[in-house]
Amino acid sequence: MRNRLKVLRAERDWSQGELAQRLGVSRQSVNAIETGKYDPSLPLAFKIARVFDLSIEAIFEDEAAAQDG
Amino acid sequence: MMQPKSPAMRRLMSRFWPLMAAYLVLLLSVGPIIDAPTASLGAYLLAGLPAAPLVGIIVVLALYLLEETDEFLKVRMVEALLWGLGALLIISTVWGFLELLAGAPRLPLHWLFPIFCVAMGLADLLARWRYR
Repeated sequence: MRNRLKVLRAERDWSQGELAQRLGVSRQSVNAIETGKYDPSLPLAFKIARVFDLSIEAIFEDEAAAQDG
Repeated sequence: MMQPKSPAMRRLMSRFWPLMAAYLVLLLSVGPIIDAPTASLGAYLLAGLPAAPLVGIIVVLALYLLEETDEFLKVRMVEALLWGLGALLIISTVWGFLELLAGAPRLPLHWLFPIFCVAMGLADLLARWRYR
């Protein structure tokens, strides 16, 4: 799933490790999500949204909806 | 680069290596104790002793899946376990047919667990590369 995690992280000048610490996950998890190799669960997606103070839709792109629309 | 381990992974390692050491010690010490294989209850218990730490390793792997709070690392472990089991089933089934139909040498059953561990280890390495 495409997402804006890398951009949002760069805007805040956070490293992957820093974001991982804020989320309470491993740096590998942040890297896998950022590169679109792993889609987070809904609870983790909500947590990511909370950390960036954004909605889930503002971070993750709903590719199926984009194709339908 | 060496990746830092999660607390659950550190616990897994601290449980896994003593069990592996116990397996090797039992494997090397039980053989010489049993002089000639006899079908007695005592011989069965003694011969089965090296397998006890392997049962422990399965329990330790299950505990890891229960204790790991990082969902991505948990998924990676489940993938490695499935690859390990898949490789084990394929290798043992194919070899079984080779034994049955082509006179291949017998594959000792106690090799199955090491085959599973090696396949799982390789799958974990592949996953690390894939998710790097």
